[in-house]
Amino acid sequence: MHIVLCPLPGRKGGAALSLPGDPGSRASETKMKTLLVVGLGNVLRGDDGAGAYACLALARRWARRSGWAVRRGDGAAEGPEVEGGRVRVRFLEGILDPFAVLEAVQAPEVRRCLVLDAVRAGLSPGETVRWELRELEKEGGSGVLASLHGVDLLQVLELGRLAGLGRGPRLVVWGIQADPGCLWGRRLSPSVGRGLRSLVLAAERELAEWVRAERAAGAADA
Amino acid sequence: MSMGMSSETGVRIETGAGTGARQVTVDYLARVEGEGKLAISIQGRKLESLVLDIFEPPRFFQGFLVGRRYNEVHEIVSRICGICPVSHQITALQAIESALGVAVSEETRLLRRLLAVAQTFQSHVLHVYMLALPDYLGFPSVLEMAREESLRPAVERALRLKKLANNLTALVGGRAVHPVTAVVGGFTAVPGRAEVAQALARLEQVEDDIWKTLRLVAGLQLPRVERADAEQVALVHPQEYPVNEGELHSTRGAAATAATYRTVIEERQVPHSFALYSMVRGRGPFLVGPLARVNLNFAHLTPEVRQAAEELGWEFPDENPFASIRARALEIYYCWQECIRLLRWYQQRLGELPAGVTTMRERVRPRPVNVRAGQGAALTEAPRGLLYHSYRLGRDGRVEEADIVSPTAHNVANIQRDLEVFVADLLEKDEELTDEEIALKSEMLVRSYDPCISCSVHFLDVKVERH
Repeated sequence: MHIVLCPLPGRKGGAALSLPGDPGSRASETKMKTLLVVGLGNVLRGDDGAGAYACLALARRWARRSGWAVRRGDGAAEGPEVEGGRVRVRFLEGILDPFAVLEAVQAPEVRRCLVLDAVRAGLSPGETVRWELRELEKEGGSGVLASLHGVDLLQVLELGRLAGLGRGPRLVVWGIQADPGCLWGRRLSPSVGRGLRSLVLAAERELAEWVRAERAAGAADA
Repeated sequence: MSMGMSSETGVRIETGAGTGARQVTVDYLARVEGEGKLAISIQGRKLESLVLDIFEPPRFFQGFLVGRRYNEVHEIVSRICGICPVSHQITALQAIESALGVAVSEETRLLRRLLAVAQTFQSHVLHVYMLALPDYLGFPSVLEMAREESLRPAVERALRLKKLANNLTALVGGRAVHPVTAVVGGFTAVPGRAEVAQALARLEQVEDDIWKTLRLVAGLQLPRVERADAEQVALVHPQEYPVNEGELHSTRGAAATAATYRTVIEERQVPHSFALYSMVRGRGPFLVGPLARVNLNFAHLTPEVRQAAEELGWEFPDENPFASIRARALEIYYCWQECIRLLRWYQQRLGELPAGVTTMRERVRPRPVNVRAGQGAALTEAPRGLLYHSYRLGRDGRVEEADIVSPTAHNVANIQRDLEVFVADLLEKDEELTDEEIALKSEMLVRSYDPCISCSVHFLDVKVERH
């Protein structure tokens, strides 16, 4: 069994597998503090797929550098999961439906959520930007994040709040400015392709800080 | 010309001084996936011209597929759309299997049906509650609607039902958004007993939500579009409500199989749009989607669903495109029942397995494929209507040619025709109607089709020169 960290099959074939019905470690599921990394976007639509590619690159890098165990998905997962030291990181890539993010962040074990996405923020293509959810809400960031039929992620999270689902975990967005001319195809624009590494490294630094904070909190609890 | 514009709605209104000429332009069609523009020119109380302009660039999905192996296609096409990945996946699998002469087991067929009805369930819930309801209740968006205390339970219901349906997709497909378990010839993994029992229990708890959805839709006042030349197209199956199988039929007698689809449906270019306009050969545009399905297959809905339609006073066939929301509500009921039926069937089959065998994996395991050159096509019913995939494979099993026509690509010409009739009728019947109201009602009509413009693959980069 292997996990292929690529959203589309390579020339040699192969597919990411997530087997529903696998018992996994259900008993420890709720105790394991989970950090979500969500890569938004469509990998067939040029720069729109930058978030998905960044998510997969980060998953691959994290698995390689941390030496954490790679788990198979448990039916709800949209990508690989890694875990180590009582903290789990769940990577959800290629998400186009913001309701899927709402459902993912509502899981009781989820402590924080890092969203990676291509954005329209008035920057130069390939530049990265970081927002806390509350900053986006203040600016009415509609249209910045993944949208399905015009209902975007911020609206969906607000809907969840209004529907009594609570505010969910702390959410941080790392965005990369898309090139407006790169709308189609399986390749990123040169600028975004170059900027992707910065995005992945910045997200990795933040994720590492989160892991340290969760472990420290866990040690204090113990 | 004087001009006014609302930045919130993207509606521009231009008025010709003293000429009685007006132009209403909806620059951005809210709550429609992708982007589109609608320009309406009015002279006095007469509609002068109406152009639904799709300015989304062309999609190159078909090009992506050329050169890919037969067993990669379904994974790539599932990425076309965030709402209907299952439909593209299953249609591609069936077309490829047709090209390679692969037969699947009954278990595979029914698990694919379960995947598809779960997807239609969640797509219809999204449309009814999040996209259509704000129009009918007078809110600019679902968020504004949710801020209204009395409507909060409806939003909670929508989120509950959507989550339930997404979980079903994840149960069978392995992932809720881009399922991964369905492959050429079968499934790589199957749900376990405990998960199925849990899913069934959750489904059985929401009957009240389903009925509340039906009653909510029954309370809506629907506008009407009357067209003498209306034609509706859907799959028809002799034994069941069509999902992944059946033959194409129309309300005006057109008929085709997947193999003969191109002899019945043609595509034409129009100067004002990137979209190719689908037509029934020798006639004109047609409607696909839940309304066409219900109209052509009412007898194959369950007795309970037909009874619900009768109790609510809904008569089918109904050619009014605004009645699509009623068809969607009925299909939510149908899909809910069908998910329960299929999960119970699955439980029963698990119970019949020989001693020592604990999963259905053997029944759905993909069989060896004899790779060869071939051509195959498939037609399915996606949530938004008829979906067509066709592939020509070379001797090495790689795609040489792909042809995909999505439900929205089928519907675009009909939306344009409906709008022309609807707006002309509005102008004739109500001289007090403001331009903002015309724009809103036109948008409602477009939204009633639930178009997914960004996944309409038959969009061409057309340059038009005018002299």
